[in-house]
Amino acid sequence: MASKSPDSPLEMSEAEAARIERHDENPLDGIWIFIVGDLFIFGSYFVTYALWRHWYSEEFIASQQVLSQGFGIFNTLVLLASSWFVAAAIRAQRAGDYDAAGRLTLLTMGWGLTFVVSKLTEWVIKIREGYTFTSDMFFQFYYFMTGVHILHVLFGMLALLRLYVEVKDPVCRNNDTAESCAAFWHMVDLLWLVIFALMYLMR
Amino acid sequence: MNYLFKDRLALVWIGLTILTYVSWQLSAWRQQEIQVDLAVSMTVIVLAVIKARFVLRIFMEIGHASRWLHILSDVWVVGLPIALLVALTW
Repeated sequence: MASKSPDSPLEMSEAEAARIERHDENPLDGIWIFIVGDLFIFGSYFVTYALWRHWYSEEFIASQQVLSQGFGIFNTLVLLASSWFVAAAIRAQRAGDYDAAGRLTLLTMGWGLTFVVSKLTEWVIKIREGYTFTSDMFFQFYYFMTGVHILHVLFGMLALLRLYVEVKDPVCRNNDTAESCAAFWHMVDLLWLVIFALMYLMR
Repeated sequence: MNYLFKDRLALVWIGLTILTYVSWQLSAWRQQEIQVDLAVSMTVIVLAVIKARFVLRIFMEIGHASRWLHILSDVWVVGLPIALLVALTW
């Protein structure tokens, strides 16, 4: 027996209607697969870090106290603001307000650049104080995890630049690309939330 | 800039900022301790994954992904603190 989709005049089978109802078909699944996969890969880093922290707790706690919580909290607030702004940019794009979408995307990139400058400044300060990649296991994890994360930030900024270029060009505008770029940027923010908790806040 | 206040975005951002401040204060309270404090550690981890879930659901709109993917994202949100607890007490 066939049923009618509320959005389409086309007849469809019950199986097809059930499949759509289950959301098994989504043009953006590529980016979602990447994001969920990346979450699990970072999850494995986080668990490895926790194991080492448990085994060498005194060394890890002593080194952790050298980190500046001020940088950590500032970077977290910057990325939370960036996520907020890019989410608003997507709402603007969906509404067809491309000028606002462009402005909000540029401001998101500004937040991203602020994070990069702040993180690099923190690295330079720590290196000048003598805490390098080879200082101890804590700093190996610190530079590795924040290093891989900042690569994600830089790639995310490239994606935001592409989003901005598309928003400004009526020929290139593509909502699917915009949603993918924004979703990637949110993942960058999300991963930092856990890195901040593990490296700066855990006791 | 009205879009910043659409779909509860500003409210969620304020909530995330407050949770960040609470985590920071909780950690700063025990900053001078040189002993492991599992309760504080797990609390800041749980607060971090709660924030992560808000980012996934409200900002990222993972509800728009296929169901198996947003279920997997919830598995990550629930599974990560459990895996970290196991690692920290192994």
